[in-house]
Amino acid sequence: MGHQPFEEWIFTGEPLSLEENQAFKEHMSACESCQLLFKAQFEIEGLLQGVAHAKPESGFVSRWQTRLVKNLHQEQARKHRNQSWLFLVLAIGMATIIFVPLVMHMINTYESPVHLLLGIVFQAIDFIVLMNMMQILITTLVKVCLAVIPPLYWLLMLVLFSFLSLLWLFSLRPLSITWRVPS
Amino acid sequence: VQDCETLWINMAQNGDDDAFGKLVEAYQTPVYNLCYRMLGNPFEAEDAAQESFFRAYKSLSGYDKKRPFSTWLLSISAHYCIDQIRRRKMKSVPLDSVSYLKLHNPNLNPELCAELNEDQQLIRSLLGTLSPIDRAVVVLFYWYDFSYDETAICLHLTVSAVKSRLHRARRELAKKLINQASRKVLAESYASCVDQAK
Repeated sequence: MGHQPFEEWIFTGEPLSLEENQAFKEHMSACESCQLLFKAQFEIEGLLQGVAHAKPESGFVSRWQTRLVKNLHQEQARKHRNQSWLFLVLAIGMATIIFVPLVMHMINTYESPVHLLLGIVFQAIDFIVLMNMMQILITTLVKVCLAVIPPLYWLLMLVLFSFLSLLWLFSLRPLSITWRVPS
Repeated sequence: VQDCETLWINMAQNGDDDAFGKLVEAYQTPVYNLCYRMLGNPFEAEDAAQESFFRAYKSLSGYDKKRPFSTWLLSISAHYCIDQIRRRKMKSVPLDSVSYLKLHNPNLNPELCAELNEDQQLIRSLLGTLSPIDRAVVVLFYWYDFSYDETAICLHLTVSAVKSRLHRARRELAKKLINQASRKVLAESYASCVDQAK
């Protein structure tokens, strides 16, 4: 026995015409399989329409408010982290932009890797010599200053620098405070 | 109620968290029920309902006031639950292994309570056999009395897709129920055979 379109009609939920209804009734009176499906469908409808809404545990709104504050904090932290990563990537990008032409220039200047290595060694020696000269210069300057400036002026300068350092520290402090998320 | 809701939405859109709290209070049961029917677990449903409200809070500025707020909110919730079910499938957690919401009402007699709990469990196991979108269609259609159009808007489907999914879901549910009933009958007849043998 063919079950179509009667099986379709059981689940369609659309109204049937008079002829269709008659044919449906005739088929249902003879077909056990479709009767079973019809009963099951009827029971399912009753079950779904008869069960009430599930309710959350009491205090849902206060739990939501707590979660809102927590989620907003997490979002802000994630935003800061993303900004930091962005800054780092930008810094690396900028450094690369500056560094790559320099490397290219060095590669073009020196004929072979040996020349390049020698160049780096010479640059390092030049840097050490420069540092040595700077040390001599600063030592001489300090000696001259100690001989020329009296101890009282040294004390005054020390106080002034201490004051400026404190001022600097206090002016930077507000920037390091984590601002509270408005609730 | 509609005026209050519009007022709360306007206030919430202007940054008033207390007004959004009122909306949470008003919609906690529909949203939680949708999540529970979709996920079948009270703990996951609580988490999903909270997350749905948070998503709604974040995208409230983009809410179109021409649409009913409930449809918009339940749409967020349904999509979140569909994603969760798909993720859960990846983790392969069977629905039968998770706990379900038991009814403890001191005003009802224990027999009725047990019967209601049985119905709840039956519905949960039947819905668990459907695909996530079919489950959402069934839940919105039967628990929220959504029309085909509303269900289609809510789940971003066409009306014909909603009709065909509902049709398929009804057929699957009926077949599953027949299957369960025949298993129960077999188990009962086996038990009576054992009793007779004794």
